[in-house]
Amino acid sequence: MNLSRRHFAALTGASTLLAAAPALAQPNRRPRVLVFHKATAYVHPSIQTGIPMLNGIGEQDGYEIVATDDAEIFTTANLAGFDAIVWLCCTTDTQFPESEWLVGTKRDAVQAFVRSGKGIVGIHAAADSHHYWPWYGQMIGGYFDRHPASPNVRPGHLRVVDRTHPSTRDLPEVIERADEWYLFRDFNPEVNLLVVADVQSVQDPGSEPLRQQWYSSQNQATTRLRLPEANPKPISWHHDFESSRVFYTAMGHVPETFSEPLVINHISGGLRWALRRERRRGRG
Amino acid sequence: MLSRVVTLLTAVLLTACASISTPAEAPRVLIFSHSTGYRHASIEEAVVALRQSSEEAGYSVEATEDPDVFSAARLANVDAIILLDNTTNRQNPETDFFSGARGEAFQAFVRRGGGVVAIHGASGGHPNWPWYRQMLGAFFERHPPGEQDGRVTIVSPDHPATRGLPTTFVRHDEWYYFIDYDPTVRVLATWDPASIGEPDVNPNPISWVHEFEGGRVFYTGMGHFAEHYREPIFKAHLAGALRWVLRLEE
Repeated sequence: MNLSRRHFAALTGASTLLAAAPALAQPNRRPRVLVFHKATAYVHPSIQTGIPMLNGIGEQDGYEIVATDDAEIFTTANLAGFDAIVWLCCTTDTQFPESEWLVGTKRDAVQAFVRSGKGIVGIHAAADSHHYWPWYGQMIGGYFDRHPASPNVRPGHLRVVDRTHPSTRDLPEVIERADEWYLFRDFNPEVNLLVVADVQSVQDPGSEPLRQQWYSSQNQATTRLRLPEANPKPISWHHDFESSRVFYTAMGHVPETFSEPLVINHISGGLRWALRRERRRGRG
Repeated sequence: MLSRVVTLLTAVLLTACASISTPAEAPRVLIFSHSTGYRHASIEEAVVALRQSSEEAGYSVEATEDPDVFSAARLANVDAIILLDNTTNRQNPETDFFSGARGEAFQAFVRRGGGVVAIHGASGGHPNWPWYRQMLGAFFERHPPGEQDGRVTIVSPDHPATRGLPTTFVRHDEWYYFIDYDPTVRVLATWDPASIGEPDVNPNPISWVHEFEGGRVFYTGMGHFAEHYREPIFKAHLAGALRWVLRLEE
């Protein structure tokens, strides 16, 4: 792979061009995207529709998609052949550090991948993973804290707050769709917010908010201060992290999610951006 | 040539008009430090320092702890309110003092374009009034016990409240965590939990601004101790914030 790329550059004299425009994808091969979906805590049925959705995006946008739940793929040599990793609902257990599969040299490989400027896309429960590896939480930009329970899947009222990004420029400003709506802990306020959920998405109108049921994977959650939510909640965002581009969306709980054109558009735009095949409007 | 002079003059006039609502009158600042919850020991000294710096900036200043100042009549002449450590007892809704007509007067003030500079314990009040939390942008959740040297990073250097400040600095304070934080506010500064040995891995918001229902709101979680109000960086932070909410500087 490296040889052919160097060969191509030498043939066309494109090395200076590539150096000058690192944001542009190399034209000589299809981007390869690793879809990783190992789950040692809750296994989302939506993984089974998320993979075909990403295959479809690959077909449409010209990527080679490799889906696996085998963590042995995380070696520096293996990852060198990929341009982006999609973390698809890849949960681990908050109570058990030993449930985490990115350990030892696998961590080194993922960090080297990120630091080499490759792309990262996190979907839904990708934020409910590796609570014991701080760097992972920095990469995503926050950790799943809780979601409304009974019912967990409920109508949501979303607002797109930035429509300059490839993941949002085709979306309407206001979106009504059902999902399981996450609230985050340790959320990085410096990420670039794309989509928020209005409070009615996480509160039952007409009922006493403090009496609503919540699910949390955090054991200390019961002792924390609870108030009726009054402010919008982050749902999708992006940031530049240690040379890589990271796009995350909390959407994606139920299998039907990944046949929604709007969600497919959102994620495919996020992936295009993470792969540096498309820029934000008027920006880098 | 003439048209250029006219344009220039117009620009100068517009700038003058935009920066001072009534050129003859100094902006009026209300320092409000009433609290019914935890009473910060720094309040008295902070009020003296805030009054002094506001007067030095050319504002006319009134300081009060009377919650009845939140009336349409008494706020009519106010351009900016400094909310200082206005805690309530979160276990007891009856300690909320922005109730009824006071709350309405506060809302009317913000909606006519008034400015709010809210400091530290101001986010620890009125948990039962969602509007207050929307206006402020968050609610105080907790702070690690005691006081620590925490690292602050300026993430929006191009704002009156941060212009000229070092990009990152260490200061002694009590460090706040928030709940119901509004991610759509413009973050000015964050603090690093790791710098005080906290387990959180991402930066925490500590100062922010937003335009809210026509008004301008600044909040900072810093400022627990009296000496902060004599600290050059924190004084510059607050003075710039006040200029921004008064629309004197963009």
